[in-house]
Amino acid sequence: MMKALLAVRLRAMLAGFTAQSRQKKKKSRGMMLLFAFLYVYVAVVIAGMMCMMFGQLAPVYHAAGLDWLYFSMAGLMAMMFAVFGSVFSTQSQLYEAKDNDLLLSMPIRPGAILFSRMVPLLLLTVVFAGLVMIPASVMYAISAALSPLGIVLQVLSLLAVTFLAQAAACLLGWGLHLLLNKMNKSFASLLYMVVFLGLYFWIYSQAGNIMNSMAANGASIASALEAWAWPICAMGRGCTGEILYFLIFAVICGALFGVVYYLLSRTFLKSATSRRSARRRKLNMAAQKAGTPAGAIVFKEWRHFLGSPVYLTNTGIGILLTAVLAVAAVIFRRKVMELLELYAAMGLALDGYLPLIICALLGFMASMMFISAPSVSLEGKNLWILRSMPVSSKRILQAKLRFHILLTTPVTTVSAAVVAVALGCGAPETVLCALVSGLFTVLNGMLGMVCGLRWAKLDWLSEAYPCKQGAAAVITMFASMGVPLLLAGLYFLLARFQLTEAVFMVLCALILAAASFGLYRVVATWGVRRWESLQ
Amino acid sequence: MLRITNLTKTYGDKVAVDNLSLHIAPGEIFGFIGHNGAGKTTTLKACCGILQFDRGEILVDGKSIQKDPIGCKQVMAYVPDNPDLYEFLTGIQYLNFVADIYGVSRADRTAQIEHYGQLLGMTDDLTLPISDCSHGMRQKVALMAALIHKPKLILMDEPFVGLDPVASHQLKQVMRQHCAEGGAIFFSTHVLEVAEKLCDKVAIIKGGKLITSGTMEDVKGQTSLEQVFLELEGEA
Repeated sequence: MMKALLAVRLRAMLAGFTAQSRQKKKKSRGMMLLFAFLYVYVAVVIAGMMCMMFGQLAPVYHAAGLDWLYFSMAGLMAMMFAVFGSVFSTQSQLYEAKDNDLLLSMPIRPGAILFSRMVPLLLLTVVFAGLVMIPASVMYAISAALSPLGIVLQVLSLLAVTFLAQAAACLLGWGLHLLLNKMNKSFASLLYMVVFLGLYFWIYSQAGNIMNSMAANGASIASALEAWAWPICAMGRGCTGEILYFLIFAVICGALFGVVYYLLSRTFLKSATSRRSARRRKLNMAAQKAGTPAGAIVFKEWRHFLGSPVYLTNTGIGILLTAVLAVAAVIFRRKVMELLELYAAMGLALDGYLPLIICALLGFMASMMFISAPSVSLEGKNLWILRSMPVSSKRILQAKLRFHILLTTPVTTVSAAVVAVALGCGAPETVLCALVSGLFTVLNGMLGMVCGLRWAKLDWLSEAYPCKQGAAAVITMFASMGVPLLLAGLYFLLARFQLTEAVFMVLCALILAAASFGLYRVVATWGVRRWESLQ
Repeated sequence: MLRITNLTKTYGDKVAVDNLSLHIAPGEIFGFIGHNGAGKTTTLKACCGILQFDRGEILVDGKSIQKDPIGCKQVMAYVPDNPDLYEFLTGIQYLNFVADIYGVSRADRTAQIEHYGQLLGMTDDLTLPISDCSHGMRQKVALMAALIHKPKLILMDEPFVGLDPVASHQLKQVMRQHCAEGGAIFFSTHVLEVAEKLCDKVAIIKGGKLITSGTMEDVKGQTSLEQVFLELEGEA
């Protein structure tokens, strides 16, 4: 039975990577290669960042004889990295899978269903943890000699950390599920985003201090860990080749995983079938208003966006980041100006490039706003509603685009203008910053819609698929990131013409507008046919 | 009201509907009967413009569903077999959404929602999110949404599934009233007793092909509809 359950889960996971539509048509070899390239690219970028960080720590800790602490830090970071990004996915995969009711109705123990859902999550967690721990081991090997036993124990420690991280993610996922059942989902999502971003920015802003502190206070951190988090200390010692410590750490990880599994399997039936009970209110007919068809579709998209934590947090995070950027630019204006003056004193005058840098930054932010990309796939089993209504396919797609633009363009345009004014740009540059940044979001909307139609997948089991793992979302995000890079490349290509920044920005605006219009035409022609052929 | 001529729909090599022709006149309740996988849902979906078909023609109120899909959809409504509605909306938000799409005025939608809300016992349940509604409640919301713009033709796929006896009785009343006012209903069902009592005309489909159709009296003769159906299916 477990074999059958695992086979179904793994097949579903694999189908997510290889199938692209309800007809279960296989992705082409080119698409598979493109996907493989994108995943490898992300892995290389993250591993590269980790290498840079651990490259600083390894020689210092090795010289201080605190090799075990180095691995303890790596293990702790791996765990945080794996847990931090997967709580929502874990909650969604464990408790909101659409086949939960079906499986629970069968003569299968709830614990077995839970376990079959945890195994694919373990596979993802080992990848997350590996992205931190493998670079840590490599950078350590550059600074100090590694024994064969040490290598074996580091690999085994990675597996142990994976179980520990998975246990923590499952526990938090369960907590989140209980929270979502008690609170308004939209509010809980926003709260999560704010807390997540707050922590992220705090850690990011303190990264330099943390690194220095970790390098300078190794001994005191070591004694604190030994006193308060002995298992982490055991993990570090295990990685340096002390087999007894590794065994103790592995037993602790296994035991904690077992305890969490036991706890969740005892509560799985109740948790998976419990729903937030909404309160009935008196229907106020006088409050009902009539609206337009386009307005109705935009309202529907808005409610979906707010009502789905996965949709909101994955595709809308850039909106919050963009707004935070504008506020940060105003608050830290003086510091940024001082930094620019410092660069100028060092012979790197960035003043003239400032509008371009602002546009590029907001362009990258805009790539994290791919709201239109999953919107077609998210119709899922509800596709019949729009398809049976007297509204043309073109109008439906236009309304979806309008929703993306309404949500992303104003905030980006205003933020660009605020950042430009805060950093002392002139009026023409400020207007151009706002225009170019706004056009980035328009282009992303069009690109997301084209990708969403091309790689529409309506038979997902969890909204996490179209919003996180689906081809449309992934390709839109990476392609959007490439647009500022392409324009930067163009700037250097045109360097010999000595264009002023303002003229180049006008050129960028024209290119972005033309590309957006071209993609809009694709949506209005091919996209309409594609929409009508979806089943 | 609905004229289906030589409708053919294939899925790969499988012929789901094979050269089907039917005519539903205003004022008629037309039952569509067949075993699982006979082609009923495919036919209904093709009629309401959800599914593209290979050959044939479907006219709704004289307009072709292929040439003027918007015009056709404006005068009809579809209730699917499984009421998959937007779970992130409340019942009233969903009804307003549908009313906005069909361009129903504020006064008309208010009257319709109040009327059918009371009739189906759903008035205050409409404030609940659809995700919190039972299957039967969703079915009622789907029915109210189908009726909100006063369509001339209603297509229903297994409309009695999930309804309690009271709601089932009320639905039959609504269907009769709709047809008494000149509308038409084309619906599929497995509940042969209901079809026998409710329908003016009936069609039986097997393997995508029409086996028989006509008035209820013509089709069942002196026996019951169940007997006729089983004989035609070759199981009696």
